[in-house]
Amino acid sequence: MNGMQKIQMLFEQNKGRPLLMTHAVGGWPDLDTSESVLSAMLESGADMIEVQIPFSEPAADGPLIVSANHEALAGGVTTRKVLEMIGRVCEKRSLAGSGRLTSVLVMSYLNPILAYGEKAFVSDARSFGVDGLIVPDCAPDEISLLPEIAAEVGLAFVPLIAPDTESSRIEQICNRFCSPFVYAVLRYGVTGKSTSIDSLTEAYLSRVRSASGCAVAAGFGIRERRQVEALGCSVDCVVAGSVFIEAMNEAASRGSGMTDAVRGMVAELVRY
Amino acid sequence: MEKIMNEQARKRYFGDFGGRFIPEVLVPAFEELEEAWASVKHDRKFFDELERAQRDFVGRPTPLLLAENLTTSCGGGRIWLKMEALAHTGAHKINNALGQGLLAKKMGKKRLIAETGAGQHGLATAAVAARLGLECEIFMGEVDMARQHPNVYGMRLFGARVTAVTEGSRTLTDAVNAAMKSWTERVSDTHYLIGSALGPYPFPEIVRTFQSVIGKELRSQFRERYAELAGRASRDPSIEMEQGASSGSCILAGVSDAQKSLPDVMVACVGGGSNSIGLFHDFLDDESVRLVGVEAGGHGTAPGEHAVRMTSGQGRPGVVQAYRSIFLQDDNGSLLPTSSVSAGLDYAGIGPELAYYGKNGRIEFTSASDEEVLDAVQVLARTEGILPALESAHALAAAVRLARTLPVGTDIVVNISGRGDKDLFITAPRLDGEDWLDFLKAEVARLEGLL
Ligand SMILES: Cc1ncc(COP(=O)(O)O)c(C=O)c1O
Repeated sequence: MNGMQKIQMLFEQNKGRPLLMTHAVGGWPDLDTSESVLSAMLESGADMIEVQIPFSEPAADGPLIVSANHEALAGGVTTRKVLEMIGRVCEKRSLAGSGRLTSVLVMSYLNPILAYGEKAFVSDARSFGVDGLIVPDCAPDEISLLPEIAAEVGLAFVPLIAPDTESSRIEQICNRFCSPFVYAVLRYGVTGKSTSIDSLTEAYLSRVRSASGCAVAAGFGIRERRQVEALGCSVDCVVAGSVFIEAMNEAASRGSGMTDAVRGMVAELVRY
Repeated sequence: MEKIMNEQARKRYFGDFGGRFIPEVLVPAFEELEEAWASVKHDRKFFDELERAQRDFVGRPTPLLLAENLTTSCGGGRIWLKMEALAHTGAHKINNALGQGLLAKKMGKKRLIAETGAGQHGLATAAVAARLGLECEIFMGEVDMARQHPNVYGMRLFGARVTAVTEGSRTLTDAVNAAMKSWTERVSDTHYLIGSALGPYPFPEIVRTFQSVIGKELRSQFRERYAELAGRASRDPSIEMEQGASSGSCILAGVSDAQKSLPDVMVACVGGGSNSIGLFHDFLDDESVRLVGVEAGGHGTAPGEHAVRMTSGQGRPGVVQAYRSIFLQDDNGSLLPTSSVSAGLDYAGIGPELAYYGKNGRIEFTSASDEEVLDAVQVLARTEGILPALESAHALAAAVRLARTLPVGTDIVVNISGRGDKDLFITAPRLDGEDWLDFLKAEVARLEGLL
């Protein structure tokens, strides 16, 4: 089963409830903690995790995620080390044989991937158990071989859609990028600030669904269960990111464990 | 479909460099900009209006001055100065700010945002916003706000809001990120007036177009000034010769024999690349003209000690800040820190058009160190009574180095992209330490009494 098929199956098995995709900056605050945080996310109920490769210029991110990127880099985290860490997380899960299907995706800006080598990156990511890539600055109408290289090994290459993306363009983007789902960015601006869910959001999401013809994940500014519930009927997956970093920061300042904070946050966002 | 997308994408490139790697939220903004740009690019009326404003508001054309004393003291090629320093607000940055300001106005935008390093682009944008009745917000790294404070004051005086950028190294690179992010939050009434010939397409082309007025003016000015020189030589060559072999021969060497329509060498400093591509662009096809870009050599050659992207061996192709170019980066693709005495050259990337002509050899690159630059400031001040910006002094330092090695009669044009008043707080402590400190102490005491 390749990455695309696995993600596809994940969506199919859970029809009727929205999946939760959580975000973490790989190697933040350090590699060991990050590894246990990722495992905790998967164990406590996240269906997919999106692990960000630390980069000096995270163009779509707000201050919290930017700082986490810079701190990880300052701590000596490299792209390779993050991929290896993902490998350990995936291996541990398959050894545990928990049964519940989960999936790991990598979020990276283009330059760390170019620096690693596109082919090498895709093949290493695949061999460490990554199922898909989210690359916010790999614009669909730009010249890049990365989407094709990912498709060759069955790695999902997730399209990002914005509130003003026209339906015809959504179709074009979905033709260019192979993925079982699209990621609908809920609002303008960078990651972090809260997003209000209203009737415009619903109209946008149903337009994305019909134009893309596939499952829809939505994120940016998801912080509480109220939002998850409001989105629940319009989307197949809800994405939450900065709120986890915030919870981890708070835990650290209280002197309590980051992994517990992460488990608590997952539980707060979803209740089965 | 993919083929068509690719063909359109190709147009956004200079060889391998350029492109538009923007997040999806910015696509409508760039489509709007591209359309507006296409409609004015060949619009006579737009450029007529721009030319009038360049004349009356900016004070163009800026002079071309033969630096006779400097030439004589170097004893080699003739050094000419293209005096962008005399443009309103003190640098070439106003050429682009004015052009894009008019474009934004035409697009119905109510608000301008911009990044700034040395503060010259921020100052120019703030001035244009005031003149055109637009709101203005400038993003500036905290480190740069401290070292270029006179410009912060100027921007505020022009009514702009100056927002401190506290991320990363808190310099120009971070200010570009902050401005771009702010744009994603509010695009409908806002134009991002980028300050150099970089960023996603069509910015590099827009900025170069508005800056190429520098080279266009230079072409006719050089011919005219050279003819005047020839007139001087033919009227009374003996007088010049009597002044001594060294001086007279440097200034008038080879002048009498014919007209000359092109300089031999043109030199400009390169931050993002707007003053350099503005000077060079009109001469790219004139193969006899050597084009030399000068990067910030900083205080050393190790990573982090300079901003030399083209010749340090530490610059590699990549995609950062939404364009493909040469960036100073580490093995993981993260940008390396940079260092320069000049805030305007303290940047890890370089405009895509310069990267292209650098790689294909049409534009040569060299660098000047912080020390050489501080020397060059003093040399020009003493020999010609001109105070260049630290950025421009990079070009000057390299030009002086070159002039010494080139035969008399060679014509070298240096772009004095800006004036050095803004650098007072950097140069004065180094050049006039004790006295400056006493002055500052007295001034603080006086203000504390007043406030
Ligand atoms: C006077 C002056 N020259 C040069 C530069 C460098 O920019 P560019 O390479 O775009 O001309 C700056 C930037 O702030 C500047 O203020």
